[in-house]
Amino acid sequence: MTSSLLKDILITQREASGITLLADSAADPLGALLAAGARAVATRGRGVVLVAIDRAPQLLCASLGLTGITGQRPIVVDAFSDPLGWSSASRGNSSLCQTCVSNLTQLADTIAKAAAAAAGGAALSTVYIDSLATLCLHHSVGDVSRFLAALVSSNRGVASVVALVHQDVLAALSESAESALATLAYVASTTVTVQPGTASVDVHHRRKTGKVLRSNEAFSFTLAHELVTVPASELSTTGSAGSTAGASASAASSSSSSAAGKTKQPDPTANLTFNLSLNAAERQARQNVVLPYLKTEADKRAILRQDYPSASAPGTIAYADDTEPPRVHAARPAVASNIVFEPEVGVDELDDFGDEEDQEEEDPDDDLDI
Amino acid sequence: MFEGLNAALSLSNTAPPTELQGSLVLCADTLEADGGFLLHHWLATHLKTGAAVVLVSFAHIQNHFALVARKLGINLAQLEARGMFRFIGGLDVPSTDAQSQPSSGDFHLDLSNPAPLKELHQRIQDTLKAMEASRRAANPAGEDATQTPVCIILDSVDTLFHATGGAITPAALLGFIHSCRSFPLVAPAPCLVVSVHADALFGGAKALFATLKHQAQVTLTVSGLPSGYSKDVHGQLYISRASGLDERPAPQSKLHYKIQDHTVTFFAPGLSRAVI
Repeated sequence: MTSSLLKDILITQREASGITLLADSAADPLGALLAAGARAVATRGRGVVLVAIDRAPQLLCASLGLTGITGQRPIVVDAFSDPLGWSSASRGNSSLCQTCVSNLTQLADTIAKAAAAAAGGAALSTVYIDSLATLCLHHSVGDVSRFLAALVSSNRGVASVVALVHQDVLAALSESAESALATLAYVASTTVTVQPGTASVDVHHRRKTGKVLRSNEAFSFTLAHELVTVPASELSTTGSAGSTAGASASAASSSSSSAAGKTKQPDPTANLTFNLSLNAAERQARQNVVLPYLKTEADKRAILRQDYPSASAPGTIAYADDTEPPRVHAARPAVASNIVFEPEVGVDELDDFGDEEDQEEEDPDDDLDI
Repeated sequence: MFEGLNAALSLSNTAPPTELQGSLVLCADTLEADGGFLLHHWLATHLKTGAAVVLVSFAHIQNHFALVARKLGINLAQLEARGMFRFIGGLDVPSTDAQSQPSSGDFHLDLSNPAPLKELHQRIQDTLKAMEASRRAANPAGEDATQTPVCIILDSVDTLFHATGGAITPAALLGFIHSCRSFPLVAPAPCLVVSVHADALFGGAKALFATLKHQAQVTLTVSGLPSGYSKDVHGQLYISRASGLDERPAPQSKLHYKIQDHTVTFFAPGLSRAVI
């Protein structure tokens, strides 16, 4: 099973992502991804804050199926019931944090307070916003992106923000969805964009180090609402396979239908005298090859650890003198790369530059005929 | 109430549509095909099944709806007395129609106010409270008056942009529509029906429409036939439903319709009586 970037970011949170944007359209909504992420994070007992702007909080909780989860209950910030703060009095439900969308500072403060309460202690919580489109109508896109950046940057108990944003709304708002989305994506570390007509998404993830990871994945859900992802390239042969995989069908049925739906295409690589494609065993073997100079994540962590023995600290230059017994380099782990300098016998000067001037007494322009 | 549409939406013809409580129903039409019949449908469906209706119209006068309702077999004046119906004329437009009486339900939008729609929101809330009181007065021994399902219909909201000369921004209107989706003092969340002329939108209003499409549980879009006017098929109706966050929307379905004197018939494309 190959790893999925989408799952690493949303479900397992193995890839740290400060702000994740789920850019969808009315025909291809990504609300299910938001729900799956919130459910997975809440089930692990992490702090979850739901910001209800477009849907009623009760509806949001119900569609997430979060009522039955044991452990910490997700905290709901209700910006839906009274979006403009018109009827501030007479709020019965005290478990919901009431706020309005017309004041972004107040909204950010309420979310931060809820995040601190949801996390409980040193841990940080994840904030799920449904959706940014309404905020973009009430405020400028720039203000909304500043609001997002302020949520995660200041030390307010928010580890990450996952927000839905509707491309068609942005398109109507600014006549070009790309520029408005780019403004938001500038502060985001991950942008998940739905590809219209298919059930696949483009994931664009920027790590803190600056490394950019991209993937194109199709997703579907099992009957237990578990997210299943497949690289979109494996589905691209037939359109029908792509659409069934995206529907809320089980993974098994989608894979079987994709196999059945494949039409017979002429294979240009069939009658060649050499082999162009890999079979499953060969592909597996290729994946198992360990590249000699590529450090694995575990190696990197080992290097960065503080308690690494200082005698064999990597990157140090060791001088092997006669007075010292020679060090055994072979016993060192493969990750440590050291420069071993052994001075030549009988040479006193260790000056790299030598006496070049003494050796070259001749005038280099001697033969020049002026 | 048009039974064909209720069947297409899997709603009951006799029981109030409680599954629509708290949800947003968006009705969009165009110049080629008028979607007024959709509003008449929601008005009749709710009133005939025992739900209360507040109708806020920015385009038509009360008499218009009284006449339409009479054709559909509903006496609006009677229902108004029983606290089941109220009309609020959203725009104070002087009418030259001799038959139309200045109604007490008209609402004057004060554009000098920084938030003119806040007053209208307050007015709707007061109306809902008054209706509840008159329901209780009309039937003191009956069931709990607060539990009657409520429907709020906003007719032609896009008129607000054109008629107020830009005094009302799309954001303000979106906030107003949002606020109308929950009145904390009215026990069940109302079913909110919003009608929009989809081809009369520009700029921020388009973004408003796109946002509403995302939030609506039921979207009904009426458009003319691509082949032009037909005597037997007056237009086509697209129905799209989206339920929860977690569920994919059901694929959009398409119906053709023909408006008749007292009803509207709906049929699958190509199955018009005139053709078969």
